[in-house]
Amino acid sequence: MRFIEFRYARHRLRDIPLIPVGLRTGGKWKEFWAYVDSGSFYSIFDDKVAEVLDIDLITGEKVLAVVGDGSFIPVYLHITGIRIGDDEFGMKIGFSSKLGVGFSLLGMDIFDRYRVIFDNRAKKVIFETYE
Amino acid sequence: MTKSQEWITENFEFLVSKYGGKYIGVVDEEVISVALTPREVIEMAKKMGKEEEEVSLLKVPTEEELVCVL
Repeated sequence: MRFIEFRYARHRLRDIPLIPVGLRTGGKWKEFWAYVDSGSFYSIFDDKVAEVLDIDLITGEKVLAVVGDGSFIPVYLHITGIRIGDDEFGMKIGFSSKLGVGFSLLGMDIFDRYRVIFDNRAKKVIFETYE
Repeated sequence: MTKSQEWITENFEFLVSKYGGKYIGVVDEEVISVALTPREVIEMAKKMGKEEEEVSLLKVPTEEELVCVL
């Protein structure tokens, strides 16, 4: 088993599980930050991230995701290389022009690969591999 | 985490207050570019002689977005 740890960010005395992840689609890795969100089914980045990864947004598998106000947004899934710490793998990442929140999201799909521990006392989020 | 990643985590509140609603690029514990899209941030960083792989791209939420999300 391996452990990849990230300290929480803080804002107005609140802890935020915001972590850096690498993304790529054949080219060079680019590092983006995403909010680890156990309430999101998919990992979703905005369409501007798709653009910089040279992803043609609407060619992906289209799904609908529910957002905070109860409305549905279109999300396009694309197989994307992702790197968390030094662990590199491929998975379906969602991209949407309607995300409408301040963060990109790492959702429950990432939890298939890791046991994710929100250690509030230690102020960090820990990704533990299942190996 | 790298030093720049640690720096972003430690200075998140400051980044929200100064750059909320924009994308920023951070290299060597310094904000080197600010724009509305990550592509613009990377292009600005390249003009400064930085490799795109070394740029950490953060979509900085606004204060209002943080209230809604959290």
